[in-house]
Amino acid sequence: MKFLCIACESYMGLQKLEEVAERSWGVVFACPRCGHKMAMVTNPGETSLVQALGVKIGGQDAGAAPMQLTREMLKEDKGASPVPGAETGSTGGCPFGALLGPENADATKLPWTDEARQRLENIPAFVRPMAKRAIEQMARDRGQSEVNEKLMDLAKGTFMGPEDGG
Amino acid sequence: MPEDIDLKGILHKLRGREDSQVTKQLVDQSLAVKLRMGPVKRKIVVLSGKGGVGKSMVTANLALAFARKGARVGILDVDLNGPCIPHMLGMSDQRFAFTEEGVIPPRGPLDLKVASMAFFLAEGAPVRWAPPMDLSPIWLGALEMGTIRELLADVVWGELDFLFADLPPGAAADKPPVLVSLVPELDGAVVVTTPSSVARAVVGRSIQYVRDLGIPLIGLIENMSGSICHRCGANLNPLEGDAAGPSSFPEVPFLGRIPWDGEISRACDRGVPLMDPEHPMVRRFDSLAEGIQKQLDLKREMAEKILRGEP
Repeated sequence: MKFLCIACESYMGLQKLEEVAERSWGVVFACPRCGHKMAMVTNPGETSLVQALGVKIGGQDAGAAPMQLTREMLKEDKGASPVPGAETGSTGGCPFGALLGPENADATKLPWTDEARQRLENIPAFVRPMAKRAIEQMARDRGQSEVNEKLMDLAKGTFMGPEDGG
Repeated sequence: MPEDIDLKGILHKLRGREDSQVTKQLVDQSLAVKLRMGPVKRKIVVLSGKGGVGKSMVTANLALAFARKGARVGILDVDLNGPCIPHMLGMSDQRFAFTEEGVIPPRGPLDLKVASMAFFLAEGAPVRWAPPMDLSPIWLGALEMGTIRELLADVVWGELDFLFADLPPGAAADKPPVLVSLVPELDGAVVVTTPSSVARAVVGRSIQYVRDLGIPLIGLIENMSGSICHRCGANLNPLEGDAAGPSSFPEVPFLGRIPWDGEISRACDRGVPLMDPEHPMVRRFDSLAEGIQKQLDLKREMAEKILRGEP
């Protein structure tokens, strides 16, 4: 789902996302060219419908916490114990949270070269988001402005340990 | 909006921007299950079309029988709304542990790994989903499928020789297809019935349903079949008739009977499973486990023959 500024022939970017009521999300979009703004408000039913599929509109960028869907949807969660990764800020439970694209929402995210992105795709899907976050953090720690193949080599050595050269 | 807007033209110019990739997300979900199920050698569902035939009791004790033989065994309690495996195994007060790697399943007797909705619920509390969609059957179906997927993909099952999935009664007919679509290389189904004409009719439909889904039938177990003498192990008053025994479904391998037994019933109620290897009921389950193993070996041999092109 995307919103289009017809006058500028440009996709609008997400500017603000907040839970305006329980399971009801207000999403503000703005055109990056003319600055025109519009807002979308979901009702609890719409939010729940999207959540039930276990997908995120805008793409699954941040990795889901273990059993996140079940835990979020249970009215009572006696099994609750702190879930690492579940505390992902105010948009953690919002299926539209991933609309926070890198170009307009999270200035801390880094661009990836095509080669590095290709290598990321080779990482098993269920650990990929976790790996992506760790690699981006490594780049920031080293003062790099992008994730490239050289950094991927370094990350592989760091996270996977030295390869057995025999 | 003016009528002359060329929306197609605008979108064509903007082509290339990534959208939600919902399909890719769904594929990734399946891949996560595949990765988690990879180290599990045998995946078996225990089902029946009929409620109250003792599926969970059979599942728990079959799992224990394989564990007694030294196998590494897990149980997935797919009965989301009526989970009872943890109670039978004395694990009611246990909970999942959540880690970066995934959900660590509690361990029961003989190191059984168990995943169940019961670990989210207070004792005796029903599953209550958050409103407002909790009364919508379509939403519930999608959500329950998501929960089963998460129990498969997010639980750290590790290396297992057997994973048994205890399915709910036949009314929840959506669960077998969910498992078939989610679990790669499902090894087969063990069908539980009782010596009753009513059960036979319902279970017969389930058998046909399982076949239609392409799930291999490992065999049939007849529960509550007569009773057992605790001195000599003999069956007492076995029910005979059209609805009982190997003749009930001649096309399905008959794995054996489980007599009605007060001790095993009380053991399940107390959450203290029978463990004495000399107990007649324990020996009965050991025998059933051997039968299942034989069927699995037979199916593997047949598959290998086919692969070798032998007649």
